[in-house]
Amino acid sequence: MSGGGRPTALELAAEIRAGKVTSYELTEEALARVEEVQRNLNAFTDVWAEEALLRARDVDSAIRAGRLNTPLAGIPMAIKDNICTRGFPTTVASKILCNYIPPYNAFAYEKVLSAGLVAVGKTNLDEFAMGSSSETSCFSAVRNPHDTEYVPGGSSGGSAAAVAGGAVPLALGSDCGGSIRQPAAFCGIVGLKPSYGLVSRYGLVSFIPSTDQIGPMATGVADCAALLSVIAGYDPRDANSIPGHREDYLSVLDGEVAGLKVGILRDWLLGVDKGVRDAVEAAGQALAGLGCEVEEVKLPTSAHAVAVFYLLAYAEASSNLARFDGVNFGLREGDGGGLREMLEESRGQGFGAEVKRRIMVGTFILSHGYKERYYKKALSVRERMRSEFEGVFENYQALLCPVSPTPPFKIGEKIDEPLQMYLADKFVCPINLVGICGLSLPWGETENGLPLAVQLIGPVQGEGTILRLAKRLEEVRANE
Amino acid sequence: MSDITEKDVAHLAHLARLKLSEDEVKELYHHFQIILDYVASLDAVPDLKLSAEPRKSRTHLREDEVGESLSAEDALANSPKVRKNQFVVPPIIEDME
Repeated sequence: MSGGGRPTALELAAEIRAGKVTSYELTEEALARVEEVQRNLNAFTDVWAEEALLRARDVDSAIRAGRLNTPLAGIPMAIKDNICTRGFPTTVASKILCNYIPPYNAFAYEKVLSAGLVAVGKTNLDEFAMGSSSETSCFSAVRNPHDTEYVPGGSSGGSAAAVAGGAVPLALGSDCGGSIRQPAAFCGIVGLKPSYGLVSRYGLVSFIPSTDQIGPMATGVADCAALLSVIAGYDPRDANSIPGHREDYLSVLDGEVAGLKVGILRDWLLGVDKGVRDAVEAAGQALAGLGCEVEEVKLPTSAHAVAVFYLLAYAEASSNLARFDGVNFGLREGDGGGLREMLEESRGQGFGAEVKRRIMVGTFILSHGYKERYYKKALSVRERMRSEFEGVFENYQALLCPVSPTPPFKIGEKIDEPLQMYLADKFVCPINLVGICGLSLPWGETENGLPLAVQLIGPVQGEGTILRLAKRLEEVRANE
Repeated sequence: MSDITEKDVAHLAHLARLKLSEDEVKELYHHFQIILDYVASLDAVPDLKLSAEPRKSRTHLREDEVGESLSAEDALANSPKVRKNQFVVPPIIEDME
């Protein structure tokens, strides 16, 4: 059982296979909870009630006929609304794509379909995944299931709220600078950002192509590992897809952790919230108790991660979002005038404030005379960070640190202060910049009952190790 | 302090093909100051000496072969304006400077 006493997705799937319950029944129950979660938390942008039940019925027949025997077959789940789903709107929570219906499926969505999962709808997010609070959505803000006055984190806040709120046991999120791990931390669930290239980006509406990754969100570590096994894989349609075979992340969970060397990033704890600091220290002690060698390590250049990350985010966004021009797809305004007016009106009316800000700063730092100073400088510091991480991973198998410097903050608290919002990503964005993997694991709560979490970081394709460590830590917490 | 002016911000909006209100330009100008001041901290980080051997590229190219792709119908399905299997855009010539 996972926290809260609900059965895990893996347990439910086993019950389906044993004929004790059907996917149809679980999907019906999920849809009823989705309705409630939607009313209270605004976690979804679209709910596929009819389609999900039809699909659940098909999945039930396939399981009964012995044609489908995968570990998560029949389980209802949710899909972040920046992942393309053929025939169903994919809005990225932006007015500019509010009518977009993709003619193809994302790789990750194809994978969950072939594994027999049943999607019940698309989840809300920060517009174009640009944000850390899920407040910038054109469908309005998502709320934290633990206290609706607080943000659920972002940008995968809808997926996190849907899982933590009990609507579905699993969801897909995406993480370009912390967007799976930070909402997972704020909502008290497990979220994993895979190594860059482990899961194909094909069909993920692009924001920062050099860091974007799709990943799993779940109530517990084993479910998270099972969903990662479903979506990981080589895909020639993503030029950065890592070639070759992927591990079965579920089967490596029970391996030994004693003797593993884990670096604790203690200097990252300076100035962070006391509850967050205590959680990291306690997790460090728990790892030592499990026989890991826990030692302090330093990554000095990471102090500049937020500056580097946002410079690259601005630059890549300004270049990437040039495709939204009111011609091939999306909103078109100002059609009565010339081409320029149509472009400026469509983009001016279609994009929200944060998206415009990123396009504008990106246009500036890529412009003649500034590119060397800002964009190239950021690339150079990113390489320095990468060398530091590679050096540390020569001696350590994993790192331990916070996810967010603070517990969840209130809705409206940071929305008018972009830099304060960006600084919420200081411990999660370095992992995206260097292409490695990270996992957010719930670790206690604040005095007000809001979730706290710790982050485990692994090298490229170190998912098996951090999932195994997380599983052991989860057991320690459960026995406390 | 960055040397960007409000006029520069308005010019950038033009380059980025974004119609912005005066208030939006003012607000962005304010945020440009804060953001550019913050990222100036990178000036203190020494540049990496480029190694003689370039980092192995993680991007792989595919063979240039004809494969499956979207049908014209699918490719046009989301366009706001289509005529005879073509995307329709407003007149371009009048727009040239």
